[in-house]
Amino acid sequence: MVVVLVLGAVGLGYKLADIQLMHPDRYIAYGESQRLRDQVLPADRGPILDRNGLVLSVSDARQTIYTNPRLVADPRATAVALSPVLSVNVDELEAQLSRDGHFAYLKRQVDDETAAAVEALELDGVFSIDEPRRSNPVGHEFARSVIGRTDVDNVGISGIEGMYDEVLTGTPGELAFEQAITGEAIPTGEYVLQPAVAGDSVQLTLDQTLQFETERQLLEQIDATCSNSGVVVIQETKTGEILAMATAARGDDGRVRVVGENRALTWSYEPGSIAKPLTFAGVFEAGLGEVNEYQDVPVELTMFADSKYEKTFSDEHRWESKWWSPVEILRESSNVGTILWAQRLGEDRLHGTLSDFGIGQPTGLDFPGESNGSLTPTDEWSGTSLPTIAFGQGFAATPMQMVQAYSTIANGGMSVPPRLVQGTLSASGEFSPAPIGEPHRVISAETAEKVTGMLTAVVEDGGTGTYAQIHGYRTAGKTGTAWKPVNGSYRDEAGNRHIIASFAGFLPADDPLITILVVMDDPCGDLDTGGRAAAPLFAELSRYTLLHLRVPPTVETSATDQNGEKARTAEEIEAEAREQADADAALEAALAERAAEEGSTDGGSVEDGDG
Amino acid sequence: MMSRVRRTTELGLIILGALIVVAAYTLASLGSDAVIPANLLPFLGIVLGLLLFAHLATRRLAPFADGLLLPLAALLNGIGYVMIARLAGERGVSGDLPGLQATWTALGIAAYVGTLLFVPRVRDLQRYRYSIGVVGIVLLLLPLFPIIGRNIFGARIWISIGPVNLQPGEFAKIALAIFFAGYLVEKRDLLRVATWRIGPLWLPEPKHLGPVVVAWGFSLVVMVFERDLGSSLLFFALFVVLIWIATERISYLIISLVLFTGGAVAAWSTFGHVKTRVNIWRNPWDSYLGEGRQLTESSFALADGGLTGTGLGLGTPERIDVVESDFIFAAIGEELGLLGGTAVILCYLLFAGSGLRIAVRAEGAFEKLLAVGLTTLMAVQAFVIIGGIIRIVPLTGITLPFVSYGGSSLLSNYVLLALLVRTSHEAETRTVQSTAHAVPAA
Repeated sequence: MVVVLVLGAVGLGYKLADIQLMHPDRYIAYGESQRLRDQVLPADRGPILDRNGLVLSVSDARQTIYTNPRLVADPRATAVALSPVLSVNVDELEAQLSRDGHFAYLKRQVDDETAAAVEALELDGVFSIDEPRRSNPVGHEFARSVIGRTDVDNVGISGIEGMYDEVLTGTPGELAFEQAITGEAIPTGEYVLQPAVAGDSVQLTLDQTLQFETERQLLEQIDATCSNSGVVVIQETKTGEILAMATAARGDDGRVRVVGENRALTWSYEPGSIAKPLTFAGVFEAGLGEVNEYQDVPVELTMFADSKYEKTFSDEHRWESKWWSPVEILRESSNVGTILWAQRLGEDRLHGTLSDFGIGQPTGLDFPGESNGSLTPTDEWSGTSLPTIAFGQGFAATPMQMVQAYSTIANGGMSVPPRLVQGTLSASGEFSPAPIGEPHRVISAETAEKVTGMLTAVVEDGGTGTYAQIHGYRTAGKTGTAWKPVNGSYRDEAGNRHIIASFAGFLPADDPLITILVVMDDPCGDLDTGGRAAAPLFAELSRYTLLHLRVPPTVETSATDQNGEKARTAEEIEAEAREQADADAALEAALAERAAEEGSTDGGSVEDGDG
Repeated sequence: MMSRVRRTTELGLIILGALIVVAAYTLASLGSDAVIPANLLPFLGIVLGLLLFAHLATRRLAPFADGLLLPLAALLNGIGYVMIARLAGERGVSGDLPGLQATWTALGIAAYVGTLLFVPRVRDLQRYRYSIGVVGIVLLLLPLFPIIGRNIFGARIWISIGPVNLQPGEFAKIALAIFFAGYLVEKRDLLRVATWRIGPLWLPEPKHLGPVVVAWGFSLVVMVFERDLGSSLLFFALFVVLIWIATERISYLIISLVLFTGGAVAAWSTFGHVKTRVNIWRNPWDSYLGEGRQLTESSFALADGGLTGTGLGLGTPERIDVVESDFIFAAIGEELGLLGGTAVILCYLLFAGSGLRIAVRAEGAFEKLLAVGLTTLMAVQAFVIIGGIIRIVPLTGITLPFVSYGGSSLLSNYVLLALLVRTSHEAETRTVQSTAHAVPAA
């Protein structure tokens, strides 16, 4: 009995000593592990800026409302109280408030007023934390084709946001804090293990004003021409910097809006006649002909006659053969004439010319989802490849590749690599420029000059591109009216052609500063040519861009103007100023309108798809 | 002369204990409120007054009794009171616990004196063993009756009479100890005769095994219907120890252990609350915020206390639910450390040692068995709750004798103390008398 008694006491004593004396650490450690929590301190995501440092995308301070369901005594009552404040339905809230575990979202990224209203309710188990949301001060849709999106966790998933996600994200810090049993942090019990380092800014080559005007006019033009979609690229010719890049499309609801897909880079299409100047550049570069070399251009051209491959090419709207030089052929956009010249050039040289201009080649922008287009090697060509490729069908290029080809012509044959990102700007203000590619020669300056001259004739009175003319500047450009393949054929089931209308060009023609491409997908009615659907928008945008860039007019605008030079200049300056003021006012109004619109649809915008 | 030496020792120890308690009381007050308690002198007066009253009563009613039991009880009671007073006002501890505990202490000492008065001879109790046994069983079953029964903390061990809540099980344990001792004294010879064997075990007549089986079943009933694992374990241990001592046959111990194991396994697989207890014992961390919380918080408290403790009034034992009652040992361990906790365990060891010495010296078989039984109750109860808190055994809700808050517990333990003191007195009286007779004869 005594033995049992002593054993019992010794047992108690041993265990007690074990807990209190020999190994108290494990309980203390366990207690700390219950209490100590690590929290990631999110780094501020860097903004995306335009070429002038204006903000295109920035992280807004937002609050996320969450719950610790274990601390919620009455989920139903809490849900009923929260529902009107958060605009979330009661059942949904109640489900979250009754979940298992310590954490559930109630609503993410609400504004400060909403968060304050929630706090004022003093509900048990309902808390808020900072969770910034990506937003665009101009509007949710503004420039989104280029900027792209972040997901709700602020991770870039498309566009520049995705491409530069690592740079923008920064380095998250770490915060350790002691947590009470109720889940709240114990005051004074927190300490920062590692501060967060804010992400760098990314500065684009885009110009906010131009981008906005481009998008606005593109939306209007798509509506006016009842097109499906449209793409516009405006490039600074000499530097290759992209000033505006817009994609808009008609949604399922019939409304036209800027979309998330940057089709200027991700979409390749058969460019049609705007590729004809490239064919002629090849001809001149090879010394196979001259600008003033006339020849007979028949109405029709039949190839592989009397074989099963027989194919007849003809020019629309022409009923008699003509005595034409390349200038007239391009001005009238004659397929037959272009084919005649292309036959002199031959398959290899045609393929080489297009490749050299960048068709089917990467642009070097490395944009997410960027397409390289498609130009098949000549050994895969059929007998009709040469004639069709000569006038822009049978291969695919991205709009950006076509812009780049036109800029090359405009730059006297030098291809300056395109740029969309100027560089990154660290939080401390240190700028690291994005790598700049080396310009390289594609065609000789003489060839470029000849082609530029031909392109100028296209826009002059009597050409197919007269709608691209603007006051005060000479324009070089080319229309394109490409057949759009529908299910592998150039006609749909009803036998109708669908076209992609484009206009590509640069100006001022004598010393080109900007290159613009307008592509309209499937315009309707009698607007179904590049000259009518795309050229007017080209004219509007080029006028606006030159004004915005303060490029003085290079051509005396009116032969009937009899006033002295001085007076005319003053008048012009006045007109210019007035026009600019009007444009600015219009832009401002539009900005305000869009901002208001954004504001009203703000709640749902996060969940919007990518269009 | 013998009596005078013992009583003087007792008085010295009582005064020492009282000083320890008053010093602790002052330290606890300094620790929690940074003031010396205003009622220090009255407090000292009351403590000394109560203890002197008990001492003088012992001096008069049981002068030859062991002089260690009362000071040990007084010290444990005092330490418990200091902790309860220190916990009063903390979060989760409500009501005037110190006042009630002081009142119950006074009543307990009155019960101690009363028991000494009304039980002049322990042997007399043997005659009423069946009546007392019935009273014990009724007391034990009282909480199961409607109206007066109360279910507190998941255990149905309380009854409510007017404003007073009582745990009749605390008194039942003494009644059952008396009954078992009386019954076994009567039957021990029959139980001792082994007539058949299983393997190496010699077993008595099956019909004499009846009481063992009854005790076993009884403890299961208590465990199941009152959800009082602690009491059932206590009763079973009491009976097993008594039958073992009475028959001096190890086979009873083995049979009982087998039965206990079987019953425990059956209960574990059948009853959710038993299973829960075992799971909490094995891994309280899984239900840190739930059922395991008392144990994990106790472990934190003890680990925080370390060797010397945080100091009275400087720990946070109030984080443990019902720390003032069943879990008071965790509070002592936290604030007084391993040294304080060990001191408390030593107090029980000394108490049990004294109890067994009394049993050895007792003349009659009944007195011997009763002393063993009462000592077993004290020791097992302390072991079960301390062992439960420090996770040697599954936790069973039971009070730490003399230390925990609780009127029933204090009253019954003072009665138990009085019975041991009475037994001791009788044994020593006989020795003294035989010595006294021997002198003239020599």
